Amino acid sequence: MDTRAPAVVAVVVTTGPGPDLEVTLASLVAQDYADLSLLVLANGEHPDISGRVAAVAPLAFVKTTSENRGFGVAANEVIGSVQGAAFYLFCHDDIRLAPDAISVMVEAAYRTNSGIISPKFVGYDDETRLLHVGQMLDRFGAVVERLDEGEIDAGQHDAERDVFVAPGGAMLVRSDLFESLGGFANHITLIGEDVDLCWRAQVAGARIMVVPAAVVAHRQALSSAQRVSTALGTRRASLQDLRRRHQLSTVLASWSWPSLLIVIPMLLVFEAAEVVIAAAGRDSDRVGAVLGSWRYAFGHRAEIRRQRELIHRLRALSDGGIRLLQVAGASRAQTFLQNLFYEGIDKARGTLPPALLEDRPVSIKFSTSREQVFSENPEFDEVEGVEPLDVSLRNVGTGFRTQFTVVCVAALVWLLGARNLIAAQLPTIGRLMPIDSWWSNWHHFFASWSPNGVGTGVPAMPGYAFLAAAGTLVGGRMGILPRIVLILAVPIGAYGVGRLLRDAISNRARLFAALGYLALPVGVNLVQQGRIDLLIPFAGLPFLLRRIFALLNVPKFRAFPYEEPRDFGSRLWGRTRAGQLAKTVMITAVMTAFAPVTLILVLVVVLGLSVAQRCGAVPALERPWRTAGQLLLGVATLLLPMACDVVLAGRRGIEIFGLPLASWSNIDFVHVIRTADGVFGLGILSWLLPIAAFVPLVLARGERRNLASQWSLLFAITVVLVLLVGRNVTGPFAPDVDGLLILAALALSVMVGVSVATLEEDLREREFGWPHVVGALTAVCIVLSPVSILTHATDGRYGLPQTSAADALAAYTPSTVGGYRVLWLGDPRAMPLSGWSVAPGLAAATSMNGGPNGSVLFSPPASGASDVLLYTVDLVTRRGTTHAGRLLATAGVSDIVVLTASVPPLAGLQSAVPLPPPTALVDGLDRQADLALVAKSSGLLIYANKRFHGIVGQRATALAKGTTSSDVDSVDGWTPALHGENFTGDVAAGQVIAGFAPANAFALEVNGHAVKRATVLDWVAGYETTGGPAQLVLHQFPLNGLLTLFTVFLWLSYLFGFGVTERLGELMGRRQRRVVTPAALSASLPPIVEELNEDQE
Amino acid sequence: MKFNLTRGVVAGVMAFALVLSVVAKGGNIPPQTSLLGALDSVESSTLLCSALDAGTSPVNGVVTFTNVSDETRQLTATLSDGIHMVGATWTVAAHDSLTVRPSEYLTNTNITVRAVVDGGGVTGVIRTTVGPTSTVPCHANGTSTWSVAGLRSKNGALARIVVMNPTSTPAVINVTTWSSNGYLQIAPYQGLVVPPVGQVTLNLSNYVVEATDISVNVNALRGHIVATALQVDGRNGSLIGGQDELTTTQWYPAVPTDDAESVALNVLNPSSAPADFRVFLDVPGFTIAPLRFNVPGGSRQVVVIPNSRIPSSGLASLKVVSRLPLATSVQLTRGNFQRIMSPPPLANELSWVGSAGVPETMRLVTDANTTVVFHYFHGGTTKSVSVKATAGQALTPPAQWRQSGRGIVTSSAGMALTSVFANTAFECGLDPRQ
Repeated sequence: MDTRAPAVVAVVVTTGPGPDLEVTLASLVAQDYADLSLLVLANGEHPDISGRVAAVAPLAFVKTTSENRGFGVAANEVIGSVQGAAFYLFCHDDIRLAPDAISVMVEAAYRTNSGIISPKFVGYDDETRLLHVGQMLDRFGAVVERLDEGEIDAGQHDAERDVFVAPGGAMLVRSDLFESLGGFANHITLIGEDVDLCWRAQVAGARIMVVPAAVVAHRQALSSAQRVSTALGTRRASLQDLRRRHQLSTVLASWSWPSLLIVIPMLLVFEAAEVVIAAAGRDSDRVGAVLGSWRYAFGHRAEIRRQRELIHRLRALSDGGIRLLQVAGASRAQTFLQNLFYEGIDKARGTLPPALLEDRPVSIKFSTSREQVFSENPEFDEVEGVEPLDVSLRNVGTGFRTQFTVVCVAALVWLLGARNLIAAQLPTIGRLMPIDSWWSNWHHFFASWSPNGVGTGVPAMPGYAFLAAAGTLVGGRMGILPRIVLILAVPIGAYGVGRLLRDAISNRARLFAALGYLALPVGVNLVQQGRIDLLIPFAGLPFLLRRIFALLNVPKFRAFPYEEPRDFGSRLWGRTRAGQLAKTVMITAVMTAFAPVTLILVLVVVLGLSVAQRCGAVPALERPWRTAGQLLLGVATLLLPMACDVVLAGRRGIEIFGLPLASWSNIDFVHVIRTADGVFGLGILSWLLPIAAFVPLVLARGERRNLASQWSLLFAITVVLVLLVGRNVTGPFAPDVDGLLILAALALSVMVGVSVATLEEDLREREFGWPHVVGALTAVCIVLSPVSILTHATDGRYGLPQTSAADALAAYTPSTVGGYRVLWLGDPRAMPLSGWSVAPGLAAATSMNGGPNGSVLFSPPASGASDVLLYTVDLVTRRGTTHAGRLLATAGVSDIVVLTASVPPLAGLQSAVPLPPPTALVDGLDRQADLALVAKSSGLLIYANKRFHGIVGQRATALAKGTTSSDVDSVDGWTPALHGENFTGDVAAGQVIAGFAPANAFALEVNGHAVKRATVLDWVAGYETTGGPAQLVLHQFPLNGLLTLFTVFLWLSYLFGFGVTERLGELMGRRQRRVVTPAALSASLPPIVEELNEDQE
Repeated sequence: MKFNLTRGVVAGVMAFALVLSVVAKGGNIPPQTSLLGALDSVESSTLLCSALDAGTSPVNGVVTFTNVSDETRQLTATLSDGIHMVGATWTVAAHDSLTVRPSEYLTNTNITVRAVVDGGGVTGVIRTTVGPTSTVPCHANGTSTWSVAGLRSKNGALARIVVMNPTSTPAVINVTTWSSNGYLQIAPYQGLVVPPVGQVTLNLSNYVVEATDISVNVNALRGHIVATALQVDGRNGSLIGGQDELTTTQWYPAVPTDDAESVALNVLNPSSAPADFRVFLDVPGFTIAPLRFNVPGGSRQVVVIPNSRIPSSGLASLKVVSRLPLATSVQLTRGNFQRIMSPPPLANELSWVGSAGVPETMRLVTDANTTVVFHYFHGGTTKSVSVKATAGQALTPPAQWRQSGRGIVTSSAGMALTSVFANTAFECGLDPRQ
């Protein structure tokens, strides 16, 4: 019949028995649309399908495929099979259309110029329940419903509107659009073919509308598991598998490459988090679905590539336009968080048993009448058969699964907070200067000369050796070492807190202690300040203290009884006290090599425990001071070069632990008690943990009381020491306050753990009263405290600045010839490299030919000839000179950088802590006649030396005998000479001076021969030459190398103590094929083996 | 009991920490430099002497350097008039003085002397020798702000300011004036650059025309400056040291009370709020009630000290106290002859050099009760005389100290010292080394 209505072909794809097929067909036959044709596509073999169709719709066409390759492939049969249709209506075989559904949809398609029309889907058995009114999509391909589950249809969604996805139960598609889109994706067998088609339609610029006036009831037999999928390749896949794999393939096919570069990393992060959470909940299906989706995408990369090419041809709308049509954010993550907050972790991760859901009393409320809800009958609230939920705090978080989940979430939050530390450029602050190659670090360790200050010939610091060893382990990729420390040190430290308290308090209490260590501001402040040297003890101190507590035999801390004394080198020597001490010495030595303040921390711990012993908070300790002495001696032995440096440094040796601070430093009680020395930890949240930590002193009993007493004493002593140093009461003995704060934070976090243990054990034994109020407040404080981690993590780099004063100078090169030094001055905590103290609150250091680099990462305490720099700075602060430039010129100082804050503050980008140097310094520098202020900002000042002439300079006439750097003649007439790292080049006849100390360590070879050297200007090497090609050469007897070799030998000797000798002996004996008698074997067996043998017998 | 002991120890230690944190906190303030104490550890020092004219100008004069150390000092000097520059090297023996006349090196106006000393202990003073004597000390350091009150340009008077830059950093200055003509920011003197180790001359008379009571504030936006005002009035000239910082208390140790002279106080209040100030006059043997005045914000005022309050033919000490920082000067008028004196800054150590034969009377005041020690040199040795001083009461230095011609005076309290040459009072050329 000819009509004026556009032709519509309803394509019903039926699979398997299809019990609702007849109903579907009947509803189609009953349509009031004039020009409707029916095509039934039977997927796979269907006995008597023609008969069933003919019984209901005798005019329908039936086409049977040989195998079931999915809905999409079957539906694609219309391309080429059907001609002249204006629209295709793709239908499942479990739907029921309202009589006017098609006419409404066609009318809407013309009225709105839409390419795809979706009806309103309602429940098959209960049409008052809404199923879909179109769907939205996020950028990760996750479908977002526009209504809540089980929502009643009250007309609230009856407005026509644009949607991103037309759900697949029934969709009206313009035929030309369908053909140009290439139909459904062939590789999507089931679930997700509608999303894929609609995304492509959106890319092609087609409009997709939902028309709620057209109503379709849908049984959703497949997705509600009423039917089983029989499509090829889907039999072993769950619906979840199919959904995830098709989502991923659609995402990979639909976004352009630039967008994928953003989407894929984000998707990986979200899915990694999902896998972790699912694994914690033993949801193996979900883990398999996520991982399987990537495997599927890789396996179907050819199809995806073809899809991408097709979409590229179709593209009428950019990715930006597509994003505007999608919902913002990650809907799956949002759903997870909503469930987590409102319904708990079990619901959030999707493993809550259905039975429990059904039994929950909340469902009863839905079925009650209004009268019942407002009933005054007290029995109304009592529901028979429903057990009250156990909400006792006592059981919250005690399960392994919950604790594991908390740990995973904390780790995830920490890693998310550190996301920008993975690849972003690190600023040159703290100790984050570019590290030299692993080979260069070995070279620094064995070198006879190092460039610190004006150069020194004292033994190199052992930190270079450990750095070189670490660099060797990572295959020479030195750049990742600081990143590893920045990202992992704090979590490792938190884990160490858990290990430290093992067997001492409950697992839950340990967990909170570890979280406390994570949340206290010390760790993030060290990250923010780039103090990787101190982050190493931050990570290692809990492990070290566990060993020290065990050595001192503090109750609950010795994990196993020590073996009787054995010979050094035997296998079980490591389990003796001597062996444990040796291990402790080695760990302490490693940490001390990076942060010498570690030794002070050890001594403070021993002191604190001794005081606690006096107070009765700990029983008799096992030789505490003797053990401390042994530790110190052992560390000094293993770090022999450093010990030699300390001895050679004389009175400066004490500065190895840190440089004195000024009495006006910002180290205040209110900061120290919160362990805050930086930009973090100054808010109100930082008070929560200190408040909670001291509760056990009041409420705890028994062992917990003793534990709280020990650690509160440690905390109090540390706080006093920090303030003594911060107020410059201790003079030159000034252990690094940030290092001391590590111990304070550790003590505080342990006390938090004890606080939780107190709430667990001690509170319930008391009668209700003020302790319970205090306990409740404490619990609130402890639970809220981890929120501070979130506040720290917002920028993805824990406040680590993006730029620094040193970086600002990176492109600045005053001289390519002769070399130059930059003199860094400022508060010791503001310095980007280690140096020496000039006065309390003022440190000095130099970098050569640019900013700080790996060659000055560690600074020996002996300043040596660098005293000339320190003396000049001291003169400046005392207004003792007006020509500091002249005095510094002999050292080749081209610029002086004065740091007045931790980093240059940039509004909105990076915050800084003001760390003003002594006012007299800036005042004095401003008064120098030969220094020009060339840059000034709120974080730094830079002065250029107008008398600079290079580290190596030459002039025609030699300096008169007795000339000092104070004389005007000392800086007149010099021009920079020699260039490059090796200081080579041509020199003219006259005098050459080299500002390297010691002067006798260097020789100037001109024309291949060393020229005569003399010390001029008090410390500088002067060479009189007739001119020619020249090179400055280091000539130093390798005494340092021998010393460091001996140190390496000492380390190997220690390592041999742990059974290596015995193992080697056995190995040698085996090679010699010695005959070992059973008696001899028995005699050589350690006792523990003998006990095992006896047990077996 | 044991539990209480631990808690007690923890509480005690924490309380100690709290007290320590509060009590032991210091301030980040520059150290007070000591002239005598620093002598041995000063590597080099610089004296900036600004400024003198050559020829018949009434501000032609000499610069006298005094070495109060025990070693001979070498001075490497640079003389400049802003256009030309010459160098010279001078030697000053220990405990001795050296007088040089800049007009022998340069013949222009506004000649400055920059002398680099190979150690400490050398002070300098500029003294005019044509017409009435007038002195200002050489400066060892620059300042970031400088003020002076009481200049004038009326009836052909010339007021100028010579600004030196003591460092290698270009200084940028803004100049603000208040006068009888009102408030003026002279356009060419805004953002004016003083070159590194250079100088500029501000000819105020060209911009603040026919005005009296000109107060000037020179603010260094960047760098440091040393400034001196020169007031030329016909054949009379004055060197005025000005103030390196505005203060709330200012001392004038010696103000002549001769009947023939009138004394006026020029006051500048650069702040936006009005300032009440009191003037205390101390005349030995008299009790004088403090005078109370008020100067509006952002303006200047001239306060005439009534003669009736001052006994004739004597010397009074004058103290100005206000709640807001002010700049002041005392203006002495005898007939047509007017002189201006800025308040000398308080210092713990001062050096003094005699006026080479011009009769002078010295007065010293301290801001607290203290013992003042006068050191002088005699036969290669240093001798000392101690005098007890009462706060605010002027004392006369011991005769042997004055007769020695040069010396040092030290005390634990702040001191100000002024000499009166003949019948007029001016700063006497004391360098407090600030």
